[in-house]
Parts: sequence; structure tokens; C-alpha cells
Amino acid sequence: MLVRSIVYLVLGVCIWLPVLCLAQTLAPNTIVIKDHQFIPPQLTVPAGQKIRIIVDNQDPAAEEFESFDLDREQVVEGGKQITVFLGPLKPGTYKYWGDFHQDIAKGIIVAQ
Amino acid sequence: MTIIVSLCNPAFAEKRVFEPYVTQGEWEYETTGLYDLDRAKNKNAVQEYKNAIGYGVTSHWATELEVEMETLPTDGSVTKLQATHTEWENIFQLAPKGEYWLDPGLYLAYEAPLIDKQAGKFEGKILLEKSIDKITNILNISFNKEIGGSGANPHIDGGMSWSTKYRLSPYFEPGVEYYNDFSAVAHQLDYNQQSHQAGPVFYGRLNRHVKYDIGYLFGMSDAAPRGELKWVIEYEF
Repeated sequence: MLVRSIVYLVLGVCIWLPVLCLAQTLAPNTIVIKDHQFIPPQLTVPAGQKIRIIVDNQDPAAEEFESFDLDREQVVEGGKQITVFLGPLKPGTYKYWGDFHQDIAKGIIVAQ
Repeated sequence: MTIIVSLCNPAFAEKRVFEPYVTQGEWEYETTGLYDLDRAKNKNAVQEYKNAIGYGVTSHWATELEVEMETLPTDGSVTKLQATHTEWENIFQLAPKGEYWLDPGLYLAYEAPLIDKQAGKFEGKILLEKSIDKITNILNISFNKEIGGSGANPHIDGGMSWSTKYRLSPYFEPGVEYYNDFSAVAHQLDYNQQSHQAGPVFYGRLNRHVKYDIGYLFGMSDAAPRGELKWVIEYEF
């Protein structure tokens, strides 16, 4: 019985995954990394909806966009961009930092 | 009979719930362990230790090589600790975290035996994660097939593992894990012939580079050990 249930679960996941995974079209916000700093240091975004942030690393060195508040840890190579998908976020302030330059690479996302 | 034998060796099953994510360019050294506690002599002090080195090759693929040492149950006791397998493990992140309602990933591994006449094993897992506020839920659905060796299990075995944790702080995240090895997919074994284990697990970071995952799993069926201590220590660089 358990095996059958699990097989049904797997089939269900396979069938419904494309539906569950429907991408939403979101207008992007952009954060630039330059001289190991995030620009702008504070980004305000709407609460209660999904957000797409482009992190554009204009430095030659790699950086890691990391945040415990946002549960994110993504490397962005030097001279490249990544997309960070967030939310829906509750109203509040969310800290993030660059893991490779923690002393100066700091930023805040404010959801309101 | 092969099924029963494999179920009597619950330490063979990995006690780890995998996230469907990889970190590009990150190296990691990882040491994991399992220690079983049971009244039966051939199920008590069954141990398994793994040492692995891994690397995030791209933003979608991380690979790892590991060596496994374990004690094996015999009729009346367990064998001495010995190197039994090497494993090549791969995790594929199928979508950026948070892009979809559910984050999907795939785990593919091949385990090669170091002991003569033992079977090798292919293993695949579907990795799914969903975070809701500060609660993170992960489901792994696994299938494996033994190949080669004189006593290879002819069946495709399956199992599932579940983790739910509360993201309290970067240093301490309490949670629970559940593991089920239901063995041959084509055969329905009784509940007590399957291995079911669940218990508290604690996750976190000791510092920027070191992560831990330690827990105690209670046996919930006859095939599982009464208790099992599990731990994972990762050094990322």
C-alpha cells in the first residue's frame, strides 16, 4: 500500500511539476556590484509578490550574493549577471551581503 | 531473500536529505557518519563513515567523489570497519531557487565496490524543496539498482526521505527528518520489513566555512535499528 502510494506520489509530482513550476513574468530590479559594493545599498520592493532581481557584477572578481534573511546563496562571476528570485516577502527589512567581501559588500532589501 | 538481507543492513541507506541546489565554484570537504544502536548484536554498532571532496562545476552541476567505510552485519555480530565503496555523486539544480513554486533538482550517483564480488549501484533521486517563510521542507524520492557482483539485488529499490527545518538562526536550525527504504519497487513488503526512521536533526553553521547537520533517528519498524546517530560536517572553501 505504501509503495503504491509513493509510486502515485512520484507520478503526481511528474505530472503536476510543469504546472506547479509555471514561471511568472516579473519586472526585474537591478543591483550592481562595483568595487565590491552593492549599488544601491538599499532596494525597496513591493511586499506580498514575487520579485526578480538582476545582480550585475561589474567587478572582475566573483562575488557571492548571500542572505540568511532571504535564504539565498548564489555566486555571480566577475563581469556576469545572475537572476535572484524572491518572495512573496512580508513587509520588513532583509539584510544581504557579499560573502567574498563581507566587510564592505553589504545591502538591504526593504519590502513594503 | 535478497530483499530481506538488504533490509537488515539499514546502514547502507544514506541518511541525508539533499537540497536541489549547487554553489558554483565552491569546493567542499565533507565527513559523514552513522552509528546504530540496537539490542540485536548484528544490528548494534553498525557504522558507516564517508569522506568526500566536492566542487560546484557550474551553477547547475556539482560533483563529488567519496570513500565509504562501514561495518557489515553478520549472523551474530558485525565485521570490523573496512573500506567498502567509492562513490561518484552528482547534483543537478534544475531551476534557480525561488523561480518556481517548487524548486526541483536531480541526484545521480554510482557506487563502486572495493570488496571483491560486491555489487556496484546506480542511484537516482528527485530532489524537491519548498520554503514557506522560515520553514523549509525538502523531499527526496530515490531509486537504486545494483549491478555486477555475485549477489546483486535484481530489483530496483526505492525509498524516500523528508526534512522539515525551522530557520531560527544561521547557527542553529532545528528540524525533523524521516527516512523510508521500501526496498523492491515491484514488491510490496509489510511495514515492518521496510525500514522507517524519524527523529530530530539540528543544522547550522559553526562559522563562515563549517556547516553541521547532526541528529538521532528512532527506528519505527522492525527492519530499522532502534536508534541511529547521524552527522554531517562540511568545510566549504
